[in-house]
This record gives sequence, structure tokens and C-alpha cells, in this order.
Amino acid sequence: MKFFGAFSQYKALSDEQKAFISNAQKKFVKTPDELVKFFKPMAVFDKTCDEARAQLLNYVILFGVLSFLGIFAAIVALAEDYLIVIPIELLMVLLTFVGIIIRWRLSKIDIHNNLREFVVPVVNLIGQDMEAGTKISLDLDLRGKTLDSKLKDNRKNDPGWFSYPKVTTRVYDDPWFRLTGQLVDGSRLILNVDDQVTRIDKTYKGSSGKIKSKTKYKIKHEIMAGLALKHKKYAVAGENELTGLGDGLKYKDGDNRQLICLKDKIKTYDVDANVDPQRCLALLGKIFMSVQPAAEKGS
Amino acid sequence: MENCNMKRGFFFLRDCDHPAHQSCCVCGKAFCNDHLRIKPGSNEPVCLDCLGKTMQQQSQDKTKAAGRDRYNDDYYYDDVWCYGYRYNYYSSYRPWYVGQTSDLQGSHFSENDIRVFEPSAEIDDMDAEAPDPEANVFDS
Repeated sequence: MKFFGAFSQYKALSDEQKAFISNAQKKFVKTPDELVKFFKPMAVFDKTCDEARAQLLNYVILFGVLSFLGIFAAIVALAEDYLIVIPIELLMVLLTFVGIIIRWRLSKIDIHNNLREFVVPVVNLIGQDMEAGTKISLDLDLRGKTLDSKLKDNRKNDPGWFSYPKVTTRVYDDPWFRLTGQLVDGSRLILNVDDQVTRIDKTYKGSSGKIKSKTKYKIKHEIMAGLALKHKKYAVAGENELTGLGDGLKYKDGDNRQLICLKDKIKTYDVDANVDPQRCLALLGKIFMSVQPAAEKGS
Repeated sequence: MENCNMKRGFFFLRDCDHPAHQSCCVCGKAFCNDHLRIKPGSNEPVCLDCLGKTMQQQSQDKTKAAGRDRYNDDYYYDDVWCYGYRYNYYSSYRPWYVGQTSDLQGSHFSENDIRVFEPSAEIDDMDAEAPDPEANVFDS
């Protein structure tokens, strides 16, 4: 029974961690070590919580089916005067409802998988290339992608009464991850992830004449990775190197630094899908592979 | 006393300055306590590189799901994951090495795996630069 483990892990969290799970939004200015220490118990809890919910769903389905079959068994048992079936049937119904309630309670303290699958690995990896004690700024918003406050566009295509299809398209912008910090070579790092969620609600007439409704999601994750590299450390990138970085490139040259930004877009249909940290780290690797130390290029 | 043989970092590999305390039961090299963990299933010290690699292999091997869970629970949100992850990552990325190539002896890396950061471009003024995450990226 994994939900026992999930509840005990939740109880072991500090008040600050519980508050973060309930608000799911905070701006941190801390060292990567401090952040990983803060997020790690929540990540472990979230993993157990997801496993517990999956396990409970199986139990609910099992007990639900047994309860349904039990109704027929109870009818037959009543006719046959075989009353032992009645308490068993009641127990099945009770277990089904208990399972539903526990699963609902767990869903209330669940946090988006992006925390454990993206935020923790990225902060941990970035921390490997920072001086001890250097702080990063991390702005997280894991409240949800389809909140009213994140609604940017709402279009309705309603041809009128008894006319179909009726289509409502809602577009949400969710800039949920903002990280800035300074790496060990003095470069300034910027990592942003913005999700754009398009929700399409369609009501239409099926071939049988029945009115049907369906909801479809399209999610676009846009990852932006930028490095402001010091001229003192890195030679100004040449045209050839910049061309090799592809279409998502943004380049700006300042007095002390050159800023190289790259973008990557991932499309999915799952509103709960998490972003793969590899996509984000690949952008940073691409930038670092395209530049050379000032001395090396100058020599 | 021998220094820790670990090359720490991800995009930038650097030498670990701490003295070595114990040897890894897999590669036999000496490491400091920060770069050693207890090997799951045995009570022996294992370095982050060897443990990370094992963890990566376990996670790729779907048939060993039980073992993967055990590793994940203990080490997934730890530095171990970073050290395992960098081995896959370095198939398409050559990390900078801030140091002399002669210092690579005893590490898991050879000259072909890395790009050396020229000494003149080496980090020299980090202390003078106070990090300010809010500052404009072109400042300083």
C-alpha cells in the first residue's frame, strides 16, 4: 500500500515545503545545493504519490467491478437466503469509496512532474558548474497550465442554436521556469521555459445524429537557453560558428559580453507531460561547443 | 596524501582539491568523501562516476526495473545522477577542462575527451565579481 508511504513522506516535509506544494509558486534566490536539498524530499514524495495514485486506481477499478458483480450476487443471495454475501458486497462498495477518497486526497497534494523530472536535474547540473556559495535566481510557477489568470485568448465559433459544430479555443501562456545565474567561467546563464497550451472544446453532431463533445489539448514547450559570455574569456563568435547554431539563434554583442541565445520547441498533446532536461542542456552544450577561449582564437 | 582523482563539473571539468580518503571498489582509484557513496547492495565505497554509470545503465535496461527503482530512490536526485548523465552527454559534447592535460592522469578522461581552457583565459577574477542574478547580462 504505497499511499501509507506517500502520506508519511508528506508528513515529514517541513512547513516551507508543504507551503510550496500548496502554492506551487515561488521565487528563490539560493545556492543550487540549498535548492536541491529543499526540492529533493518533495521530488521523492511526488514520485511515491504518483505511484500510490496509480496503485489506488487499480484497486478502485478492481473493487468497483467486484461491487457491481456483487449487486447481482446479493440479489441471488437474498433469494437463496445466503446472507453472508451482503456484508461482503457492502465491504467492496466501502473499499471502492475509500480508494476514491484517498486518491482524491493525494491529488490535492500532488505537484507537477516538472519539479522532479526537470527542475531538480537542471538545478543539480547547473550547480556542478558554479562556485560554491554562488546563488541562482529561480522563479517557479507550477500552479497549473490552464488557470484563468494564464488565459491569453478565448475564441468562440458558435453558428447559433442547434447548429454544429461549436468550437471554443482557449490559449494559455504559462512561463513556469526562469533561472539565472553565473557559471564558474564568469558567464551569465539564462534558462526559460514557457508553455503555450491550446484547449479546443468541440461540440458536434455525430454520424448517428447524436450530439457529442470532445476536448483536445495542444501543448508547445518553448525552451530558451542563453549565455552571456565575457569577451575577456571568449573570442567573439564568428559568422560560421553562429550559422551552425540554427534558426532559433539570437545574438547580441555588448561592450563586455556577447549574448548567445538558442530556442527549442517541443510539441505534445499531454497537458501533464514534463519537459526533458536533455533538450535544455543540449542547447547550452551547443553554445559552448560553438565558442573558443579568447586566447586560443587570438593565437 | 594523494588528492581526489575526480574531475568535477559538467560543462567545465575541474580538479577536486580535497585529499582522497578511500578507493572506489569498481575502478580502484582514490577519491574524497564528497565523491564517494555506498554501493547499493554492498557496503563498499564507489565513486560517483562508476555509480552514475551503473545507474544510467540500469535506467536504460527495462528488464531490471526493480534495481532501477532502488537506485532512483537513493541517488536520482543526488549528484550521482549528474555524473552518470554526463557520460551519455559527452558523446555529443566535449567539456572544457580547466587545468593541465598532465593532470588528467588517474581520471576517467583522456586528452581526446576534453577541450583545454587556455591558461590565459582561465578563471582569474571570480572573487572580484559579485554574482547578481538580477543584473543585466551585459553588465560587468
